[in-house]
Amino acid sequence: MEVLYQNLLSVTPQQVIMWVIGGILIFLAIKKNMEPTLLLPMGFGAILVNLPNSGAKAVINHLFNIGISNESHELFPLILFIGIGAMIDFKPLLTNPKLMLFGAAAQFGIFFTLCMATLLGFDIKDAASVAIIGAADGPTSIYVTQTLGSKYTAAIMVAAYSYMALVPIVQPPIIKLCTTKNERRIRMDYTNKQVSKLTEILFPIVVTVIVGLVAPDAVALIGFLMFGNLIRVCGVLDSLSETAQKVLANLITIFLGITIASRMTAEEFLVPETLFIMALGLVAFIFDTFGGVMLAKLMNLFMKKKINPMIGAAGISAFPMSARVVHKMGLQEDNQNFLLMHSIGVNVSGQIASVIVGGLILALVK
Amino acid sequence: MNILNILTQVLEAQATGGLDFSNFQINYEALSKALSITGTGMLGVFIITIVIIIVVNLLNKFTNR
Repeated sequence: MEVLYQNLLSVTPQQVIMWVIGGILIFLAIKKNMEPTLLLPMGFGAILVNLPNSGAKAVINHLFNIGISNESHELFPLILFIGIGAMIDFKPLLTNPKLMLFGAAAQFGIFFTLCMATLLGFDIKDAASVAIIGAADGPTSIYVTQTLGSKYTAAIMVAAYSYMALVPIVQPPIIKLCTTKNERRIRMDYTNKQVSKLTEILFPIVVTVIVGLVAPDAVALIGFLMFGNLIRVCGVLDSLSETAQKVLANLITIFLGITIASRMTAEEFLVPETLFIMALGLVAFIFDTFGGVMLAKLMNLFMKKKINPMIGAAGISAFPMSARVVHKMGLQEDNQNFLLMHSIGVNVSGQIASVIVGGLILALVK
Repeated sequence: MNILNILTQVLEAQATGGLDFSNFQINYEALSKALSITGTGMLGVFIITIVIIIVVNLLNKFTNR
């Protein structure tokens, strides 16, 4: 009889709090449809590892060691990047390459947050890991966090995926604050330029080589992303492309979410720093948006054909939510203002820029 | 003591029984490193981006002939 209630008595209040947090993540995933593919496994995993003497802990820790830890060379996020690369269509970017500048500008929040986190007292490696939440890109965040050996992986992941899901709530007020009504009403023509198949095929190869030469720490990230894209565009590997987009990405996502939960034990997660990380993640998203919009406003000072500054906000790589937000806001201001193709181009460029910044941060901080 | 410690104390104020701001200081060394990373990082991402833009424009120009 004692065996039956002995374990029950060893439940700690902190573990109960973690069950509640896990429950909240599952609720947000199911009821609010917030990044369900990751928040649901993370939420369930949080409950799983916080049961007293949980037998699942060893398995999940093992998965962490073989899939996410530095020793495993961050296998899961990198393989997931093949799937993401296979999902991305770079054509809107290739027809108007200068849109990439907004992707670069919208990484400003990462660096601003790095300074803020340092000011708050995080050591430089932890500060960089927290700042990379602003990449709005889960696999990049995991890769950088693990490579830098930060102890805040779980909190960073929860913040990164939560804010990605909250892009439609976080971005509009910031965009409105940074722009005037007239600026938001600027119409942008879209001409459907043709992109040759050769350009599509050469793009992932060329980007990998350029980034690899300048920021070798980013090669793993950009290389796997572009490899996935090459499979998509080459035209002779449709079956592999489909597998990468669906089966591979889904399989890794299942393991990724529940494995990150191995770092969501009460002892590691219930620390004051978790709250600061959540706050700093929000700061990163806000200043990413600010950076992108401000560059567009700056460019408008010199350009004859004005750019709608809202598209700069799509430079954060939360794809495709951010592009949709900008498109919707454009329609709200003027129901004939269709910004979708422009914002999609900026959005995919943000994906590339965030990976480049991840590599640069690794090179500069390590 | 840095801001993180102070904020931690605020959160734990009841447990600790009070706050101590007497030896607050900013870690200027870490902050200057962060600012240097910011400068180099933003410059780096723009340089790489501009190179990619030039190459893509060239690709578009030559492959659309």
